[in-house]
Amino acid sequence: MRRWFDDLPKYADDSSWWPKGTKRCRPEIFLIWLGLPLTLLAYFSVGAVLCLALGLNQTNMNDYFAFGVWIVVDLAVIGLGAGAFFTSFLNYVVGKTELKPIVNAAVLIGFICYVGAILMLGIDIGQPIRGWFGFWHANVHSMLTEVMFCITTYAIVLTIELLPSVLDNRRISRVPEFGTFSHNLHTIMIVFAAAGTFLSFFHQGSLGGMFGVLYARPFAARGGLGIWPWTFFLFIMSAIAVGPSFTTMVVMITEKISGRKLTKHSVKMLMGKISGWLLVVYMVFKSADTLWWAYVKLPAAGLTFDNMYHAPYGFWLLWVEIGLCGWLPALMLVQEKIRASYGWMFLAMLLACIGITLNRFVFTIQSLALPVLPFEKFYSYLPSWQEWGIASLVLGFGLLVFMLAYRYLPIFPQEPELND
Amino acid sequence: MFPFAYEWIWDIGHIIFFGLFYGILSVIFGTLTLTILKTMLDLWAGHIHEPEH
Repeated sequence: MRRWFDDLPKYADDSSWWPKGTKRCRPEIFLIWLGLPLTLLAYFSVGAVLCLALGLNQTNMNDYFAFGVWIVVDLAVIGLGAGAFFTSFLNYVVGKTELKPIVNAAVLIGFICYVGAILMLGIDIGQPIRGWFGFWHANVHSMLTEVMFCITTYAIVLTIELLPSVLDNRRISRVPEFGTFSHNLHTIMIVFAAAGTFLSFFHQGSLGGMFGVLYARPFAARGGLGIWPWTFFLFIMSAIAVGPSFTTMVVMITEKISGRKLTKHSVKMLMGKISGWLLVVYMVFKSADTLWWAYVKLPAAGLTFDNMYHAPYGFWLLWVEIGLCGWLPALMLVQEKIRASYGWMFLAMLLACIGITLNRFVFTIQSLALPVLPFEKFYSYLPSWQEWGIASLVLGFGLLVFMLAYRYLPIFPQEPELND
Repeated sequence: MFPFAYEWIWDIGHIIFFGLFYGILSVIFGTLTLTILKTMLDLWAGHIHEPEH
């Protein structure tokens, strides 16, 4: 057995595929690491087979909770994955080239978030082979139609944006056709970045807008501007604020696990600064929206603020979302001293990411938990193990793609010079 | 859904929704096609982009 391991590099040396000037772990160690995402994907497969074969009775969703953990995870990862479009927009369209060292990572993370969410929704819709019905029998009055159009189209854009990184692989780029195609794609990337920005703006907004137009759900319903409720704009603002934080956080985690520096700290600080100031703007509008909802909107509907919070979804959720994971990381990230510290910046970014996840959770679950008819009661929801299995697809798929991309693709152009 | 499908209605909702949808798809796939064509022309002309590594 030992001899087999000793002999292995002769047969399984993949170092010629690694990005130039980088070092990666031995193939057998990498294969052991791959066990983690493959285990998660196996867990997903069990849940998916049960849900597809036996139906949604495998879940804890019911007539009250038409949306469950899948939609929470879907909304959260789509919000967190917004770093892809916003970083691309700043880099290619605005010309903020300081972000170039992290834009590949942002696109990769966005690709993982969007494709993972789409795959998970394939199970949620019950019959994935009829997924195309949404395009053919489109309900043009539904916010979700816009979301579906934009998310699927943006996943195509992200695939195209990721393509040059794949073609720039050390071995693949030696093929003249691929190398030249990759070079030409790089030169025209501004068009895809602009298209991605347009698509992201609308689907991030429409995901929020969908909640704002739920007039029978006082927790979520809001007024707005024209056909767009305030939640339309709040979801866009929160996504562009937290997306850069999530991208940076993933890079920082990768640095700690791999023991290698991947981007200069100044790049991370810039991402933190962008995230921090956008988070401040978002928190101003979010706080104003919450106060208007509590003191104007709810009383006008004959309700009170207290009616909206019941254990386990008590007021603590509001304080955690807006205070601990909203204002606190916003105020931390706008300070240069905090951003200069690796640990403090990571903590602030982590809090911001938890905040946006909580925001998507309360809009999805708490909105449905509150009774809206006299004979209804307050219900809480806990996902079944099958639901968690399907939700784990995003993590398993994400880890698998990210690990393969980190090992073989030039995602971090500054890595060679930072690790000389 | 295409305008010749029986469900299609010539109203503002369908025109905006599908106009933007097909518009953006045209931009994406048009740009991709042009990039592929330019690559083919470059290769035929011998303008091969050498990898940096």
